[in-house]
Amino acid sequence: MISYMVRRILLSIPLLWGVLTIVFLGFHALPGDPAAQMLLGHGTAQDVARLRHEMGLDRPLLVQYWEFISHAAHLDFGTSLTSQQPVFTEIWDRFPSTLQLVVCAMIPAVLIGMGLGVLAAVTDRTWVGAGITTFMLILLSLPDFWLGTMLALIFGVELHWLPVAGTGDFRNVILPAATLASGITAVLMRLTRVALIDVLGMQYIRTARAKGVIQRRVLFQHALRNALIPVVTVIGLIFTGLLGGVVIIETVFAWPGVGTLAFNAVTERDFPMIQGTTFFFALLLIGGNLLVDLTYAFFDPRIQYA
Amino acid sequence: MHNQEPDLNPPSASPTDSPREAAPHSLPVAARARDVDDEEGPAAHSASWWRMVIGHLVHDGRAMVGLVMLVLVAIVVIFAPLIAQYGPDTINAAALNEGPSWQHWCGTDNLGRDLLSRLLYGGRISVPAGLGVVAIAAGLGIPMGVAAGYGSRFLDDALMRLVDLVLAIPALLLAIGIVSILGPGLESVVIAFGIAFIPSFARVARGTTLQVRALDYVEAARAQGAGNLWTIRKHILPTVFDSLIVLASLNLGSAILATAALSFLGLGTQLPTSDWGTLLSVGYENMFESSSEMIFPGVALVVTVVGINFLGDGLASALNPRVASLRNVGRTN
Repeated sequence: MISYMVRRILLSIPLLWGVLTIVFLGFHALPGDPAAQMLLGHGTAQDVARLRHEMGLDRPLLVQYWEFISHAAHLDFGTSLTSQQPVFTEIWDRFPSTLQLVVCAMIPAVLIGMGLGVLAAVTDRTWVGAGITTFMLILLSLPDFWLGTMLALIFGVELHWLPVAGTGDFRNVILPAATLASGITAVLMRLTRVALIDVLGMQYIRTARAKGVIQRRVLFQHALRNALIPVVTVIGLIFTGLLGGVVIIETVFAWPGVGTLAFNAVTERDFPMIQGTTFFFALLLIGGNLLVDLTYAFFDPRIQYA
Repeated sequence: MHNQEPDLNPPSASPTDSPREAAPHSLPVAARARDVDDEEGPAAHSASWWRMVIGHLVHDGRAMVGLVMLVLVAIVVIFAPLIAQYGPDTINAAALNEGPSWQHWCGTDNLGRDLLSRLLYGGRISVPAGLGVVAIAAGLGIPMGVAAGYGSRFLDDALMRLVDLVLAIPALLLAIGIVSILGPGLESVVIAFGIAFIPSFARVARGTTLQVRALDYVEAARAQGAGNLWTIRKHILPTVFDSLIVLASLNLGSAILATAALSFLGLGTQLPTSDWGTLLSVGYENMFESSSEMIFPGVALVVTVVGINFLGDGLASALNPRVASLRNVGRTN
C-alpha cells in the first residue's frame, strides 16, 4: 500500500516534466521572434536584440531548456510582462478566488448530482428515471459560456436580483458558481446512475433482496457503497472540465481568479504568465488525480497494489 | 448482463491505471454475444444485428426526438442559402437591434443584419467544425489506440504516456495554447481540439483491442497463421468500431460546444464571418440593447447538441448499455 503510494507519487514527476517540456517547446514554436512580438512591432532592432539577450533567447536551446526547467522546479517562471510581478506571486494572489468559486460550485454539484443519479438509477425504466435522464442530457448540452450569460441576463439585467460581474459579497459568487456547477452536476448524475444500475444488477443484491433485507438497506448499505467506488475513480475526469470551465466562467463573470489571469495572458501575449498558468492548471489536474487515486486505493480493499 | 466484474474502469488521467492485462473494460454486447453464441464469425455485422440495433433505437422515444432535431438542423444548415431571406452580411440601417418580427424572425443585430440568416450561415461553420474535431481525434486516436493495444509493450507504454501528457493539461487550455501557436482562426481551433480530444479515442480503442486480442477466436485465428494486419482488420477493428461510434457521437456534441467556446472567446472564427460562438460573443456585448442576439445563437447550439446527445445516448444503449461507462463523460471545455 505504502509502496504503491510512493510509486504513484513518483510517477507524476515525469508527467510534470513532460508538461514543462511542452510549455517550453510551445513558447519556442510560436511564429516569429518572441522578443519582437513582445515589443508589438515597436522598438528598433537594438531593442529587440537587447530584449532577446535579457530573456536569454540568444543562448543555445538546450541551455535555455535547462534554465527553464530548473527555475520552473522552484515555481519560478519569471515576471509577468503586463504587471511586472513574479508570475507565481500573482497566481497565488488569485488562487483563493478560484478556490472559492470551485468550492461553491462543487458542494451543490456533488449533492444534487449524486442525489439525482441515485434517484435515476432506482427509478430506471420508469417515467421518473427517464425524466431525470432527459434533464441530465439537456444539462450536459448547455454550453457554459451561454448558460452563464443567460443567467446574467435573467437574474442580473432583467430581475436585478444578483450582480452580473465582479466580486464583493456572497451574492457575486452565486451566478458563476451555479454555471460551473451545472456541468459537474450532469457528469456526476450520469456516473452515479450508470454505476448504481450496474451494481443493482449484481447477484449479491438479488441475494440480499431474496433474504428479505428491506429496500432502503439494500440500496444504502449494499449497493450505494459499492457503486461509489467507481464514481470516485472517475471524479478525476471532472477536474479537466472543471478547470476549463473556470477559465471561461471567470472570464464571462469578470471573476478575479487564475482563469481570467490565464485568459488575459493569452490575449495580451504575456508569455511567462501563459507558461505559469498552464503549468499551474496542469499541477492542479495531476495533483487532483493523484489524490483521487490514493483515496481509491485506500477505500477499495479489493484492489491489490503490489 | 452476465458480466460480473466491477466495471466503469475510467479513462482517468492517471499514468498507473493502464494495466495491459485484465483491463475490466466492457465490450459491446455484439462482441460479447459473438464470443458466446454467434457461430457465424465475428467479421461483419449481420442484417439481423442491424435490425436489432435499429429496432432498439426506433422504440427509444428520446433517441427519435434527437434524430428529428438533428435532421431539422441538417436540412436548415444545408439549405441555408435557399431558406435565408436576407444575406448574412446585408446591413440595413433602417432596422437596428430590432426584436423578433414577421420580417426578421429572430430580430436584427446592431448593424441591422438579419439574425436568422446569420444563424443559418453560422451553422454551416459550427457544425462542420465539430465534425472536423471528431474526425481528427478519431483519425489519430484510433490508430494510436489499436497500435498500443496490439503492438509491443514498448510501443504501448510510449503511446500511452503521450496520451497521459495530453490529458495532464486541461483540454481548453491546451487548445488555447495550440491556437496561440497556430494563430487565431477556425482551422487552428479545429486542429487544437482535434488533438485535445485524442485521449478518449486512443484509450477506448486500446482497451477494446486488448480485450478482443485475448479472446479465444482471435487466438485461434493467430494460431492458424493469421497475419497482424488481417487480424486487426477482421477481428479488432469491427469491435473497436462499435465502441467508438458511440464515443464519436457523444464527442461530437462536446466538440461543437468547445469550438463555439473558443469562437466566443475571440480565438476562433474571426469577424465579420460568424459562427454560433462568434454571434454569442457579439450578442454578449450588446446584451443591454437587445437580448435576442444572445438568446437565439445559444438556442441553435443547444438544439443541435441536445439532438446529438439524445441520439448518441440511444445509440449507446442500443449497442450496449454498459458502454456508457467507457465514455468520455462531460463537456470538455
